[in-house]
Amino acid sequence: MRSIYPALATRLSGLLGHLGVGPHAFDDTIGLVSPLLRVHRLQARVVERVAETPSACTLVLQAGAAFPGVVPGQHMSVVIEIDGVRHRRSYSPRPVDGRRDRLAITVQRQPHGRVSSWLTERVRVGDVLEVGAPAGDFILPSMPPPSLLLVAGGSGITPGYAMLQWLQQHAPRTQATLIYFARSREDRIFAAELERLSGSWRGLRYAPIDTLANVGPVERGGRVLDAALLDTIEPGWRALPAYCCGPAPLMETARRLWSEAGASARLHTESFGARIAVGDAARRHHVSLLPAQGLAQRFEATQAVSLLEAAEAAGHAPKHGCRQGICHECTCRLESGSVVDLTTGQRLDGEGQNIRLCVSAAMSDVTLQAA
Amino acid sequence: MTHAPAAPLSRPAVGPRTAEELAAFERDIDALRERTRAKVGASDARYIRRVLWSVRLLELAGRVLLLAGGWFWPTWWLGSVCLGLAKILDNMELGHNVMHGQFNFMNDPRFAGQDFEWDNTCPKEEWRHSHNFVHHHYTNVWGMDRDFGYGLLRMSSDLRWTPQFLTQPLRALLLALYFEWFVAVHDLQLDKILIRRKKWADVRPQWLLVRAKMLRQAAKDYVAWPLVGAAVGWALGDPLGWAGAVLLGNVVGNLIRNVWAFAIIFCGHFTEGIYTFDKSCLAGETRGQWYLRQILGSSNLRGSRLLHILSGNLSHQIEHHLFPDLPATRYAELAPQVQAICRKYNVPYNTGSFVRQFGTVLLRIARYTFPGGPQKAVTLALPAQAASGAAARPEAAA
Repeated sequence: MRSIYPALATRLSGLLGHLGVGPHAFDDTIGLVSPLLRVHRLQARVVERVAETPSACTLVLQAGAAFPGVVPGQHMSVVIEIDGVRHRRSYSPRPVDGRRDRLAITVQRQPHGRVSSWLTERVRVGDVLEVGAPAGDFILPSMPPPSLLLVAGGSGITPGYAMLQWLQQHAPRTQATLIYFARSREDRIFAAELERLSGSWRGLRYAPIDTLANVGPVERGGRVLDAALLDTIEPGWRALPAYCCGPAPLMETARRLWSEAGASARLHTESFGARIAVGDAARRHHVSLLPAQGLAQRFEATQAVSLLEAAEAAGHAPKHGCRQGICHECTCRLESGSVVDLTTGQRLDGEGQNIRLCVSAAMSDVTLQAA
Repeated sequence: MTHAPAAPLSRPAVGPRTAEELAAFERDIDALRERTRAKVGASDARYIRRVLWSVRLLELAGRVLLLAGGWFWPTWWLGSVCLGLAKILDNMELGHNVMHGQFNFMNDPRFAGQDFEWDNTCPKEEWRHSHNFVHHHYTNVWGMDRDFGYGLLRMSSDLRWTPQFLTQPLRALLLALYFEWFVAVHDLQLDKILIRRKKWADVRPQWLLVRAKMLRQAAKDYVAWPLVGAAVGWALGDPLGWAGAVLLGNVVGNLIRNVWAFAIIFCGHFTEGIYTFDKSCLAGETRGQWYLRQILGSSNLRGSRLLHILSGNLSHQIEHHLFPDLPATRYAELAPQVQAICRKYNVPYNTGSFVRQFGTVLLRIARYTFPGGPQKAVTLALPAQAASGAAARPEAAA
């Protein structure tokens, strides 16, 4: 049963608002008692660390009563602070022990990843992390289908693994097929658990494939995702609901295969990692600017012009002031994609930080949230 | 506009004299900015979080003292002063700096420039437009920077004298006492509506925003907290007395903040020796000229660390105007470097003690109550620029 604490605390916070105590002040103050009591910006405590592979580890988190719970397949933002700057990344959590307030995330350390390195190396049991509410539509339908296909590459296994765990416990008659690309068994996250699961649960057909998921040149004998592979493992793949999560090349291949098979509607994909900035300055990127209210403004921009100029050229009129980066009237939040700060030449990858439209240019497709 | 075809504009006899010198001046300041920006990080974040907690603790102390002590005068005075200090710190060292986007680098919603809500009747949206954009972009440009005189006072002979300015000392006093309310309606430009240069219908959406914030602030300080006071007083047998003590404590807290903010802000641009500028500065203005205008139009205060904190580091008005979105925590270390650049290019660096600077502000208010006065807008446009600017805008030369 859900405790009445979050509703009460939220109500109290609302009342205190009339006395000038804002939600941040309420949260920060109650957080002095325990960070898990916060109701606006949630935090969770690390209760266990498990090394999965040489470069991936699982963090089991204890959230507070206000945490809304996880639907397998959803993603959730995790925020940490490094040198005074908050960094936000998305991970796919999975419920632990069937509890609403207990969850696990598995983090693959990226070669130059500040946040993933911090989470895999620096975070200790007892540390507290800020977490967002889980969201996303990469989830199973409310009535689980009789059979389905999961395709995962590398750490893209995390949402799929959450789904499989749930299916085994709540819909064990489901016929699930998992095709899972990873460099080797040693690098395969959940390798032992998946082997155990496929041994104990007859509904799971598990096909581990020891090649990087369609990334780079394939070694001799290596297998990639293609129609032949799908036909061998699950001949009926075109008719099944399919869930694919992994590196961009794997996802692009999946989209092409399902489109060629006329089955795009049955393919669900979840991209992870930043959209890669392309070096080509002339390439046109799609920009989507979500105002506080109303419809999204969509336009195209190259790296050669500021986002403000690009928006205006497309007939939009975003709020702005000095046009030289001083007054911050055109500040928007960079939710995803990469931009370059034209005053410093620095590249910024979207994690909800504030950027100024008049001195930023698109390096990839970007999504912006107006203030 | 009724711009009199007056005598040719003068150029200040200070600062870079040639285009080359001006470019070097610009490079020096740009380099200083980049050097400092690279240092911004954990220590700035720690500082602003400490300020946030100081505001909260001071306000808590003030509220508790007023509620606990009622009319008992030592707690009442201490409570009111704590509340006033909390509001000063919230508006100046926290709000003003955060709303400039100085701490956006932290990516923390508590310190996000466009979301921060301060304990002041001026809505954040109105402030960001009238202050961050209009005032900082057009600093001291006559007819553009509405902070020069607030559409209420005559602070230089750029504004033609009329007998109505004989009331100027009284106006200044009202402005000081009710500063937050004047700031709240500042961007509505009521003076222009009065002379029918703007229509009320155009500013009505803004007014609704202002009214909502005013009501919210009044409800908090003058209704909700006195009601809490009445509840405490009811338990002690004197609800009305307690509510009154809390109410008056809030009034005094707001007055303290108003008068102090007025004094500090007036020391920023109205001291002796600051320059005002003609609109012709703006056509084709280079970044170097913009920097020069910011320095010549601003003045600093010398004083203790406490003065810097309580003034929201507006005691470093010059550094703030050069780098409005660098964290204010950096202004003290920037000041000697800015001064060195000023010496190098013969740019006056206007600074002095609070008493001296504020004295010259009061003198200025008094002087321009009466006709005439020496201060007149200058131009920073180089001769070549002025010629091309005039050619490009023939109506301005007419």
